Amino acid sequence: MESPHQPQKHPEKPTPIWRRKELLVLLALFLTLTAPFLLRSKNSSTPGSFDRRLVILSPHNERVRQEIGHAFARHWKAKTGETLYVDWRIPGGASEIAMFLRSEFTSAFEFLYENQLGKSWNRDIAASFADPGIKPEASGPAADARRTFLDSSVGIGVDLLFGGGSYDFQQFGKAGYLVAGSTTPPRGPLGVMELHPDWFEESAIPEQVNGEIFRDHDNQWMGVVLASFGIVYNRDVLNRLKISEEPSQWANLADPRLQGQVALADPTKSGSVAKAFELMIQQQIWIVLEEARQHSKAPEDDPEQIRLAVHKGWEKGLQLIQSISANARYFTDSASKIPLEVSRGDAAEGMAIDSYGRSAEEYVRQKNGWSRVGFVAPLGGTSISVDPIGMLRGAPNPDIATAFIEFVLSPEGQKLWAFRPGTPEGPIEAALRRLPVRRDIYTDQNRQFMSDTREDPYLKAESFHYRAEWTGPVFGVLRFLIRVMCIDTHAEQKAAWQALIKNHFPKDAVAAFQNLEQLSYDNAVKKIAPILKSKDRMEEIRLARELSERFRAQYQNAYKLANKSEGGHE
Amino acid sequence: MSDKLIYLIFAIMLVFFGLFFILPIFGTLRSAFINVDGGFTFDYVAEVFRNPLYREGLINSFLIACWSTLGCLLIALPLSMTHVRYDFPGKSLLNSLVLTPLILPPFVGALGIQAMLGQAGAFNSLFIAMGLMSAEKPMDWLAAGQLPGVVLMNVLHLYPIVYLNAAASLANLDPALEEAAANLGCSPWRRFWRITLPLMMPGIFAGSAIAFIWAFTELGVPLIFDYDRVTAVQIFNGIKDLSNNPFPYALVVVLLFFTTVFYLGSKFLFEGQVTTGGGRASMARIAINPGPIPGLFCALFFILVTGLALIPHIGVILLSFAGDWYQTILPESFTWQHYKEALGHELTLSAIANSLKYSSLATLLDVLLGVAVAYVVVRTRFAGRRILDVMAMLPLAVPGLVMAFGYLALSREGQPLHGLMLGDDPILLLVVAYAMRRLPYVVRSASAGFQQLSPTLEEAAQNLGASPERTLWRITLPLIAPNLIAGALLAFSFAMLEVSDSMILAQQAAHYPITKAIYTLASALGDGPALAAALGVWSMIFLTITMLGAGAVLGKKMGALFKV
Repeated sequence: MESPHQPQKHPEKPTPIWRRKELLVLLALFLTLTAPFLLRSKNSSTPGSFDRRLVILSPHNERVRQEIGHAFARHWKAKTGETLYVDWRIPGGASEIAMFLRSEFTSAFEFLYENQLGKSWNRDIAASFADPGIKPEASGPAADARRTFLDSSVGIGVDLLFGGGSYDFQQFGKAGYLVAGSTTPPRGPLGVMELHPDWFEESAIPEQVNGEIFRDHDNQWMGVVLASFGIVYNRDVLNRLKISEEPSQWANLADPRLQGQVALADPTKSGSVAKAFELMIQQQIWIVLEEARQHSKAPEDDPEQIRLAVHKGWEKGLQLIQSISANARYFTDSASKIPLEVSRGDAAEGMAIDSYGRSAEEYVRQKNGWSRVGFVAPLGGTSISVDPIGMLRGAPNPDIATAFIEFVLSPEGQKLWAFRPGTPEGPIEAALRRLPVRRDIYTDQNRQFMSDTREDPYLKAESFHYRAEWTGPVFGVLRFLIRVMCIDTHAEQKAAWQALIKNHFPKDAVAAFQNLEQLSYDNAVKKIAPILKSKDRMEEIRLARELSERFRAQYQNAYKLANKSEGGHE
Repeated sequence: MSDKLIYLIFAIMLVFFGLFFILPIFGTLRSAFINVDGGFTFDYVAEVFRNPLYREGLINSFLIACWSTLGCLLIALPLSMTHVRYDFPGKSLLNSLVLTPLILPPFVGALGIQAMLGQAGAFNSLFIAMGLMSAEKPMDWLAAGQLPGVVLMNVLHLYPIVYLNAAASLANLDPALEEAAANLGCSPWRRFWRITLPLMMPGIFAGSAIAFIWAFTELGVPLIFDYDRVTAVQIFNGIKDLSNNPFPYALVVVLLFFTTVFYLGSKFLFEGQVTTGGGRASMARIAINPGPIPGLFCALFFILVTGLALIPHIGVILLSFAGDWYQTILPESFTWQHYKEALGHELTLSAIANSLKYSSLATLLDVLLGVAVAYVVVRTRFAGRRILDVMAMLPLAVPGLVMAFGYLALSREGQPLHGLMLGDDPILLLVVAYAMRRLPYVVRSASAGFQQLSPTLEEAAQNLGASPERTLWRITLPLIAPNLIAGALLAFSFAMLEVSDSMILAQQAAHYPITKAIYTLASALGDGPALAAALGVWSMIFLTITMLGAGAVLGKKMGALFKV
């Protein structure tokens, strides 16, 4: 029992103590605020006053922005005597940039259309003006809007788009956000080509390498550095899981011992990730094709043989993706999450862009040269593509933008990407560890200054030939199928996979798990692709529901079958 | 309050909500109701309910919200009672630390959790070292038991909101009422159920309503657990999907609808429970000294709860000092280098200044609007007051990305919010955006204050000839000051930690707030995450001191709540 408390005599605390506490807190607040003030950086890249400004939209990381931005500002100062402010805009990763461009161009074009042209704006116009499917020469309001947009120099106050996947650049180029520029005066990529025709020969920047486009056919964008997807892995975790061989192929990710230990990137949110999955499928097609060629006397380019290989390879590829996904922890849209978690031991293997994989490896490398993190680009399973630059429509400073493109493609700019800090013409503070696009940079003379002295991307590129005609028609379908087959139904898929592993893969359960009868190549091209392209967006949603319900049921069934078979054995 | 003033407040709020809440989301949400021919359709919304995946998402979100709120109450109520009733060693320090779990900086918070709970993290290393776990098969905490994990993390993150509001209402409660009951022979339990709890109900409701809606629409915590079958994550995935389908906006509409329904439902249930207290405390509450051993238990209770809730923060702090931290309980080497680099980064100083500017202006706006809204909702019979009440809660439930892109589109040339852009400077836009999403905290806290305060004091003042405005200023506001400070502190802290609007609307480096500076640092490869952690720790320290400061400067006037 608690007795009602007595009004005890608690004298008020004397004021000085309070004062002292207040002072203490204020002092602490003051100290906290002083720390960044005292440590503040002396060299700012936002000059207090500047003559000109260059606005760049970019997903490139902080180090790249610093090194390239400062170097170009110096270059510009030396060339013109003007102080340049390089104004980087970073709304986030690839998907935020795509949303940002769409939103900004829509607002800007709406303003032009309504206020300057005096035409009325509606949803149809908003949906059509940047739709590459609408032919500008056709008639009707949609085509008129499209034509008006493509003829306009409507801008969003940004000069350049710098960095990202070449797939994204293709989309932005087709939409009309990017422009090629002009030859007189030399502006944009076209202008740089006019100034330096020798940079765009086979020996420097080829137009395409083994099916991968290195610079846009219409000159709307150009590759600056090379990129490829590969596998980043943690040797400690592999040891723990008793996997003795290091991964060398995508198929290694499907190893059941890796259950719950694979980190995957999300193809629905990034075009370049979707591309990486497309390449897994292409690799399977090649494997089927090679095998068929060994057993038949048909000529190399026999269309029937290729057709069969594409069909069979597509299904094998989907099955491979299904097994890899069943091992996966998640599908993420953050490019840096996967190498970080692999290096921290939260995943054994994962998909990563080469530059991320290599820097994760270097960051934890010990003094004796050993690193717990490794990175491998699967031979024959990944292509070398580019990380481009392009000039945006209505760029407010086309002359500086052009000079910037010229700079990053010049030998001087290209060396910044690959050289070690402190080397002549190298970066000042941090190695960027990206592979330059220019072939003529890879000389013995230059190699001695590079962080990755032995890398020979052009040689590696030989190992894979990308055939756009095989999987191009189903590129959008693949992304959609991975979503319904793996991402939306991931919980059920993982549970079924676990049951399969536990019960040593009983045949009937495996067959139920892998059943892809609705997803044949023909179905994908003829049934699914048109629905995804349909104007009625409800059709896509209904299809997604039907397919994901089917896969859910299928995985649940596989789970039951697998567990039943164990009962049968006992 | 004169009718004129009420109408004025209502009109101001309608304009504010119309311009800064409905307009930004209307453009996008509308697309969820338009079919291929441009006509109206309910098909997208219906599809949410037809698809078992999304039904499951909604149910999971609801379950998470219920369990999280219950968990918050179970932790926060005993804590706040202990705090008000008893004196124990370290009381003032422990009380101010209760709020620190709220201030987990974005982007690095998840890294902190992973550093502690990951497969090669600190906890597993500890268990392995103690021989409790095999090094061959470490526990995968984050992948096992996703739903309970999300609930637990929510509870540990959100209980301070319930605590703060409950403690504020306890501070307002007249101890004489409890004493009267005790004198009349009422047992402690009965007294709690019949006197204390009903009297502090407004504060409990205020805290739990926010915790519930927060947990119902929370995105970050499920993402840490890679748990994608909750509505907020499904919306996030849908919005970011390259296919650009309007379907996720239908999900947003459904989420908003359920938020409204749950809020109104709980409000309806709660209004039967509310008891207005006797106005101002007629005597000072005197904390009991329970003796050394029970006092120690009181302190332990605080330490245990706060300690658990601070696990992610400890992870972030260790990361910020760590060289490489892998498979060990503590990092192998410690360094100051990350702080030197992060605080010395060219973005940092201006980002701190910007964040302070944006957040304090937004908090000021929130307090002004929040008091006005709460007054009309609680103190008047005005017909539109319920609409006002719901309006003030909905911003909690709209995904940040949807709002941010809404603002972006509306601030362009020729659009209604273009006037908010001062040339390139987005300060007004950001202040409004921050304020809109944080208004619910102030409105809820202020409403709780008004509900608890008996109108008799105001009536007395008015009988003595004071105008209603003067009464509000001289009588009511000073009396509900603890609630206002509670709300304003929440609003300020969350404004400092805001992500979506900061990422999208602060475009030039000169305008970045601190969260975008953290993002920028985190995206650098190599030691980027460690630098970001260092800046994150800086903001945690700053916000903790701000909270301590609020207590120290205002503590004397505010009674029990903010004594340091």
